[in-house]
Amino acid sequence: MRADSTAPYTNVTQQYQHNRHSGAGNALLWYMAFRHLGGGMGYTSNGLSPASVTGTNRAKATAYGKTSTRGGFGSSASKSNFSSAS
Amino acid sequence: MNIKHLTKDPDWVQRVESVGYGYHSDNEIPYWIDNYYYSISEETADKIYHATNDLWQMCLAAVEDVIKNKKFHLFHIPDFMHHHIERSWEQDVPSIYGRFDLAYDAGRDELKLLEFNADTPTSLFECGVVQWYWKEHYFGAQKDQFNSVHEQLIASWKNLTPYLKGSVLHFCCIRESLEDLTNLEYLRDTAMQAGIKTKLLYIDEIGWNGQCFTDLEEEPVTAIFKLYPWEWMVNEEFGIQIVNDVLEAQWIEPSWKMILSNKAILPVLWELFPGHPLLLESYFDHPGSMSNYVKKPLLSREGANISFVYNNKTIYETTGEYGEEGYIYQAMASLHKETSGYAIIGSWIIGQEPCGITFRESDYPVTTDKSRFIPHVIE
Repeated sequence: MRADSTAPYTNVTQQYQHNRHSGAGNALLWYMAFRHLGGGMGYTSNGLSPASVTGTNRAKATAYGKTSTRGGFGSSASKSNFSSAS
Repeated sequence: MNIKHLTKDPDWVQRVESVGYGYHSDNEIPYWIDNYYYSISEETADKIYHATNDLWQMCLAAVEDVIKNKKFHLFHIPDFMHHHIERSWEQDVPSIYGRFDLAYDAGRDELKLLEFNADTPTSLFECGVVQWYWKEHYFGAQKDQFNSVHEQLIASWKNLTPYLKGSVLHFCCIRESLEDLTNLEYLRDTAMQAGIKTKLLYIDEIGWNGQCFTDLEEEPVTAIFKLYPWEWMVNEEFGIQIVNDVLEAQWIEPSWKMILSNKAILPVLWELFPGHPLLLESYFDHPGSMSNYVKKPLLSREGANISFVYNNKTIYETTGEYGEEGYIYQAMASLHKETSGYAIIGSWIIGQEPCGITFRESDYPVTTDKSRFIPHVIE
């Protein structure tokens, strides 16, 4: 964000809190942003892939249900008679 | 430069193991030599230092040339990696080390580049730690060594710290090799001494979550040192994800080192610096007018699939699984020979600084994983 910006981006959480009158602003913001991960309403487009909004955040990835696959590196070492050293 | 013998220390195994050196022997045949050493003069040490500096500058110029003129096909690098290599070069992704293998012809007092282990060089621990403690045991402070590997590693990590992505630097290697793990843990130790937060994982434990690479705690990998060859990585299942990674993780050594760790760099260097006194005449695809030469696969490791041709006849060759990727032809170097065998010099560049040497000795004029490590002193 530009340092001289007057856009109220940083107030988003507070606005949610204000509207909810419950102090659960962060939770609602979270729900609205990722509501299509579990269905329901929200401002994100259903045309977007869930993966496109999870980014690299661990909690978001967990919410999306995506865990890492492993073992995609290392096969050459087990096939080769040579060390990886040089 | 010559070897000198010492009275054998009956406790040498216990002594080297006490500094964490567990692979000193292979089936009870010593890989580490404790009872003789290479004696070199200050002038020879200086000569190696300056040669290493010059070769490093030439190598950087060669990388620039390969990238600028898109000569990737000469190196058999997969198409999908070309842009990644260009970006790693443009962004100056951190590099920590490399080891030049040099032939020394004492009669002519000449050093010649045999090859550059730019991606996954090992014997760093032997050079930086075991060799130094060996010198301290036999000679104390009375004699010196061309060896500031340890200090230079810590200094280099400190210099690189502001340029590392994220708060954790991951380190990975294969799980079956004590040699690899020891070298990796030594590097990680020096990074930690430089104040870097680190995590260790094995190469097969690296995860892919569809967006980025992850560690075992599902934390994203943003910067990672890998003791695992680039040419293996890019041909494995996750290879393509290197360019799909939204975090653009920093791989150390960076992907532009694929150019320098490939033997195709040797004819490229010869083309750029023809006749340079530190280089051996080298060509792609044919030996030119040379009748004494060595034929090497582009990606060979540990001296595999090398042929020695003398007077246009093959006089010695090694077996292996390389060669499909093509060969280069390099003039035969005159290797230093003692009664104990043929020796080559490994000269380390860490950060931008030549900072230590290793001697590897073999019964035949090819350095393999069985080649012995010989310590040295300056005297």
